[in-house]
Amino acid sequence: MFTNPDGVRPIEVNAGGIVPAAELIGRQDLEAALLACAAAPSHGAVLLGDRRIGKTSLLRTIEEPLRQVGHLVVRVSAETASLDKFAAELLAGLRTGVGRSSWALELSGEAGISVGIGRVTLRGTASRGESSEAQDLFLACALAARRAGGGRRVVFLLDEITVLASELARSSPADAREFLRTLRKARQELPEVVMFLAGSIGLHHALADRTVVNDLTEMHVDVLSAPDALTLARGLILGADLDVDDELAVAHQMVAQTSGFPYYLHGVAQLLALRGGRIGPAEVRLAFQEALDADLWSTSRYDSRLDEYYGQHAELVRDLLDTIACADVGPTLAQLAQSPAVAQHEASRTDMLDLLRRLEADHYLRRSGSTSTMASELIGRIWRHQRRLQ
Amino acid sequence: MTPQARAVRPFTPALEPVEELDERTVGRELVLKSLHSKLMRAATSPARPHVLLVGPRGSGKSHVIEVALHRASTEAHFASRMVIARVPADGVAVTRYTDLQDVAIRALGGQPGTQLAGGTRQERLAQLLSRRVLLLVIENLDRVFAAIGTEGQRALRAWVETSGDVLLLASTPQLFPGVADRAQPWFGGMATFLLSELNAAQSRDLLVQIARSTEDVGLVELLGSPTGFARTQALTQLIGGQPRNLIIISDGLSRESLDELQPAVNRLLEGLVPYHEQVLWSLSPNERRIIAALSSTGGGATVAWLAADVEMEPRTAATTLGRLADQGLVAAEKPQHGADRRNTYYHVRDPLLRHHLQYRQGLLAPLELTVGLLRVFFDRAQRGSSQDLQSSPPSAADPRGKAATPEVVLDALTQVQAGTAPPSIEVDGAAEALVSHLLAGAAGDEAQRLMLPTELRVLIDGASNR
Repeated sequence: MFTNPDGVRPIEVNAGGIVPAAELIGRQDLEAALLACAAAPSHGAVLLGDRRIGKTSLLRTIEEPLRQVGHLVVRVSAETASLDKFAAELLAGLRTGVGRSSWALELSGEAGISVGIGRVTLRGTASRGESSEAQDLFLACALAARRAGGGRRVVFLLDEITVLASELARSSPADAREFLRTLRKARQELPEVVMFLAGSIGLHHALADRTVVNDLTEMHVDVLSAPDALTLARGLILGADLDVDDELAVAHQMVAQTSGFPYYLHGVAQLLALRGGRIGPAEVRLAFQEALDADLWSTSRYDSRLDEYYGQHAELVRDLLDTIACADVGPTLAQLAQSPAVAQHEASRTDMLDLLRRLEADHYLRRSGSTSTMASELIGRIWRHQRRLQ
Repeated sequence: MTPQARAVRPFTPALEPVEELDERTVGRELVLKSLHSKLMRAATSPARPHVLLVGPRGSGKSHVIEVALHRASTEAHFASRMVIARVPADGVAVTRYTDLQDVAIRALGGQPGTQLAGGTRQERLAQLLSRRVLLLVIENLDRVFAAIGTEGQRALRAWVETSGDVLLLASTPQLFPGVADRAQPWFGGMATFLLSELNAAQSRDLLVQIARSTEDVGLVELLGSPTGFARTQALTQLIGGQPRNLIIISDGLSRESLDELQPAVNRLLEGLVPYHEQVLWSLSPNERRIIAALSSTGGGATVAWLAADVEMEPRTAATTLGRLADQGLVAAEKPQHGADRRNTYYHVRDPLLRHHLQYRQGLLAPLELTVGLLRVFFDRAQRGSSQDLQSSPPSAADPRGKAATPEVVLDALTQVQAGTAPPSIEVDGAAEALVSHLLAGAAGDEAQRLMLPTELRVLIDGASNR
């Protein structure tokens, strides 16, 4: 691969697609933490982060290293509203992860899946020697995987788990809890089993009671550090073959505009590649502004989804965000309560604290001691743009 | 030399020799370069940079896909590693997510419905692919996503993400919630390539390409002259820069019809009648009423005016306009200054659809005046930079009391902009409102400017973005 004199490698612009492990920038610490978690006596981790921040890419990146150190890896997408489809995905994932011939040995006869309220059961046997009576699907599968793994650790990479959990919660919160409890049961009963969960929807939207996942370590996938974001921006400039007048200045501007959010860095690079012509920092600013104006990245959803997320508190939340997004310094709770826009709602301190915590979980805000700031300069800019506060 | 018959297919480029499509490609080089790079990356690495081409009907999405696949297929890596599965552009047979997988199974030489015992279509596909990469081409992704529903979209995403051996190349006339709503599975999952309209120079290049292919020397000569460029500017301003419209208009285009312009525009409207009829009949009765009323105004109108005109509740009219805006058929604008900035003015986004309705009703005067105004306006603009023009001599200085020829109206407009009192012009009834909005808009009345047909605002603004 061509390398320029500064050692920056070209990176293909890839906004939203699958990124090769070698091109995943700035996630080495998280990769190492996940690999360590898989090796330690732990139940696993849950990846938390905003939509399009790179959680799925991270899961994909650790897959091969996990195999290389000898773990048995089973990757399954839970991006469905249907338990039976998830069960089918799980069985397919096991066949792929374990290997078709080994799995055929484990399965004595075809497994029949039966979906009940909040749980999936298996009719028949999923593992030799086990009871042929109805049994918990996930536990049965984990048992079978353990047997096929021959003492190795069995790592389940369960992506978009919150989609299924949220869909189950839509009909009954108990169903979502029960489903996640079946996963926890397998973790608790089988020490070889490790799970890494990820999802684009916050788990708190599906679960009021999070005890069913409190055995998992929370790992936050955040925007890139400034040096990593700069490396990515410079790689994208090379990869997109952009005609820049000052490569470093353009890269810095890309980072400034996107706050190091990799998806938007790729997005801006793509816009610039399609625009053509000579590019300086001003063109970067213009391209980003035009994308916001055209709502190309659906950033208006940061505002419009609040009614769904916060119900009767949506207007209070908007006023909280307006106040924080326009503050020079992150305000404390007391300062927020005194701002005229927020004070008009006459909300209790407890309610406001709860809302601030939920806004942190939804990646709008970041807590710093007793103050709150927008989660990133980018989110602040998006919010001010949507609310015409600029 | 007598011009040759053409074999250009404006609605089905896939049926044309791809080399000819490639040769005729204008204004899409950056898109094709970026697309080529992504296809090659998918062929040579685990990267799967999915692409969504977004552009209105006739913007050349199918053309771009054909040319991109043609160029990529000449590369050895692509040919050996990628297998192309194409969902038919009409997509009528795709009603479930599994239909997409069956399309892929067929492309790989398999038989749908003969999955491995106990296995899934996905596993069957993985076996058939045998470490190659599936390039799934889906045109009209909006329709396909609507057909397979959210659960189907989730399943597609799960397949693409989990297998890692599928690359999507899709197109859609406009962004739609399935890809633009952050709550949907495919939000942000594809790089969006917006296909912009061709500008006047690119439009001229396309017309030259086609005229050359038919060996129409006279037309090529005119297009290469300042007069020809002025005509192309007027044409592009009127019909937009969608390649399909230009290709349709090129059918039967001659040196004479381009120079006169009106015959060429009439031919285009006639050629697009079936297409516009299909668009209109796909609308609900309320939507059709609103479009018809908006077209009759010639330009922008407020909700209140429209509701009164079609005898509809304002709330219903507003909701209907919202739906039409979602379909990309109408656009909304607010006055930037002056007037009442609370008002929103709606207009039919595609001037040709508006002209179609007027044309079918026999209301030819507004279109004829519009074409004439643009023809003379761009002629005069060209004259500023060239002495080559031979047509449209300057009009008399004093337009008062004269019939509303394009020259007279443009002279009057110049006087209004210079601060002179509006002159008296005799205007045919159907074009009266147009001239009135034009002169009032030129005098600085923002609301009147918004009530003008969008293609005529260039006469006031003085600078075209085409």
